[in-house]
Amino acid sequence: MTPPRSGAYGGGGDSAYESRLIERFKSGDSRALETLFDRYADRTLGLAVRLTDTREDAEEVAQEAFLRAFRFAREMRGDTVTSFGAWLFSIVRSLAADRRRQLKLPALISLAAPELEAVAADAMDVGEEAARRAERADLLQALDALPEEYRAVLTLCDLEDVPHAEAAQVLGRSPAATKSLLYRARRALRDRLAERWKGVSEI
Amino acid sequence: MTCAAALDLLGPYVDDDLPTESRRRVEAHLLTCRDCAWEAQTLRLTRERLRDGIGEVVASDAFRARTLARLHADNAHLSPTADVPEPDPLQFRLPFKV
Repeated sequence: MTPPRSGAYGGGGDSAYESRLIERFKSGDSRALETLFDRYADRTLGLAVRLTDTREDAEEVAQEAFLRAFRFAREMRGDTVTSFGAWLFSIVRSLAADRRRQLKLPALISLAAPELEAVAADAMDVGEEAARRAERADLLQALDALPEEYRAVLTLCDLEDVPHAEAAQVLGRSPAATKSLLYRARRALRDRLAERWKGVSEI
Repeated sequence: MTCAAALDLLGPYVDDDLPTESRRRVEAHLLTCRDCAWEAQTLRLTRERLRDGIGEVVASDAFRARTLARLHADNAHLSPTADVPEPDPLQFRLPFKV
């Protein structure tokens, strides 16, 4: 059993709680920093993993994004606080893009090695576990081959379950345009997966 | 409903984001059109796979520790964490002389 992700969105009242954490952080409470970090660590790294080529790059990008987001938070006036997550994810996206440009590399297909993708390993029999692993590798490989914008929207909205309004801020689009981007992205991913699904009887 | 109209609505349909009336019309179309039904089913499956936690990344303890250490160093205004209190010397004193 894996514990629920500490960063799960709690729904209503969440943003008010987050604003209080940011205020507490600004007034010198180091626990507020740790709480904010815990809420976002998995998802920030998750987005970075999907937008960079190696786990090492992803960790550097995620770490730098946290440093910058907290610097922003320190300088923000109380009434201008928007979502901390939206800042963080936007920074991840821009850092990942910079890194790609520096390396002058096209999007590489990163091989989703099992040890790099810590996955909820519930008690499952071995066959099921192996099938799941293969399925995961297929999915991640297909995802990593998509254009950046598609990877970003699928990671935010589907993998990380970030609310559409917040994903829209990160992507610099309206919520409606974000949804339509999401639908196009899912279709593109489906097209990549469809080859493998052909002939599978349950479908 | 035409296939083109149904395809336009499949995105929100799969997300359960359609008003009841439109959802019913899409469903009626899907019952009669194999191609659109396949489209809906594979989109739904794609969404489910993604949401299944299948691509979930978990930050390692090493990454957490490293990043938190840098964050603390970068935020000098923070007061030290009270998470690990100084051990109270009295607590370990034996109640009798050895």
